[in-house]
Amino acid sequence: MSHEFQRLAREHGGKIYSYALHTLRCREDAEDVTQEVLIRLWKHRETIDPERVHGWVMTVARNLVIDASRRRRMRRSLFADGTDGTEVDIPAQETGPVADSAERDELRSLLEAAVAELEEPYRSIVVMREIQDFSYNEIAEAMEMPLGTVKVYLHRARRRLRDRVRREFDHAV
Amino acid sequence: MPFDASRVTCAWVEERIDAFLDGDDGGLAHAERDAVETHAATCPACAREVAMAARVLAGLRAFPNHPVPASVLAAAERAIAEPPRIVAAPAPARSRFRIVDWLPATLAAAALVALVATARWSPAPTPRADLAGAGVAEAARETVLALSYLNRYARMTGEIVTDEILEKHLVGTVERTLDNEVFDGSIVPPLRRAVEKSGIVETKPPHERS
Repeated sequence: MSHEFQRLAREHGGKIYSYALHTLRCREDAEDVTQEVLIRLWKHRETIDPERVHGWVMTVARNLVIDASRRRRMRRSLFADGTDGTEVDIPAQETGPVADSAERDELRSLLEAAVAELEEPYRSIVVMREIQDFSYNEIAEAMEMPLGTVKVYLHRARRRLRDRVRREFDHAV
Repeated sequence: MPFDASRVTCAWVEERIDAFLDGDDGGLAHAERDAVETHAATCPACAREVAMAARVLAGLRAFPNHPVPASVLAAAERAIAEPPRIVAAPAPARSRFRIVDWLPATLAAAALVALVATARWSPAPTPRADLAGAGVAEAARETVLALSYLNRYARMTGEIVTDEILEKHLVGTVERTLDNEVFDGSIVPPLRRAVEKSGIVETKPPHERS
């Protein structure tokens, strides 16, 4: 069992965690979501169509992310400043050139904030497509949406992100 | 049908920037890709727009994909190794204080129950002045802890606890009880202020706290 579980976890754990971390921006919640999806995947592994495991995993992850967001809103209701004390910065990539790091970090911070401001399903689609490099078909399956709808949402989301970055840079100038 | 270059305007290009940057996935015909490039080469506004879009995409694609922490995999593996407990889902008609049945004997739960019990059975409401400061902060802290812990507990046991149940039986109950029976309708604002000032927000269950 252990070997089989580890294989499933290796295959799917990373994309679940990354998706949850980038959409929730809370390490603890992302860990909870990842753990729960892996447990459910294990429980249902024999009934999931092998051709659709990726979509199944990401659909469950997305639903749990939405649940976690709702719980966070509930927790936030206790705090006047709108935080729940659990949000954390996602650590920067540890590899890559250090040149232009200030500008890169600035853009990264700006984009993180801009992505966080997107509503669902825009945020999930942007994370899956741009950060996780999913294909349009994979996103459509995970989001349970027609392909064309995914493209429309992504187009709108990208435009919003561009507008946000442009506004910020124009403001800085 | 040959490509009609007269259709190429700034608006036409703007609509196709994403598809252009998506490469083969974007679905643009070669003639359309060439048209975008040609137009951008002679139109500074569109060139800026394409550059901005490319910059945003490059920025997003540079976001890291983090590996799953080993502790998460270990916890999941432990969870699947243990047979799930069979626990009945709470019936909607239950008393609001049945929530205590769900909670394990933890500090968070004990504190919550104690707070609620005090509220219920205290012969006289505690004066507000006695409940200011540290007491209020503790109530807030334990409420947040218990909520978080209950989420984990429910997940580990397989018990069904929906957001509505959490709100109705935990957060709502504690807030309403304390507010109405102890704090004379004034708990929520000082509770929130105390939490803000305390800096003791922590969502780990008690046994995991350092």
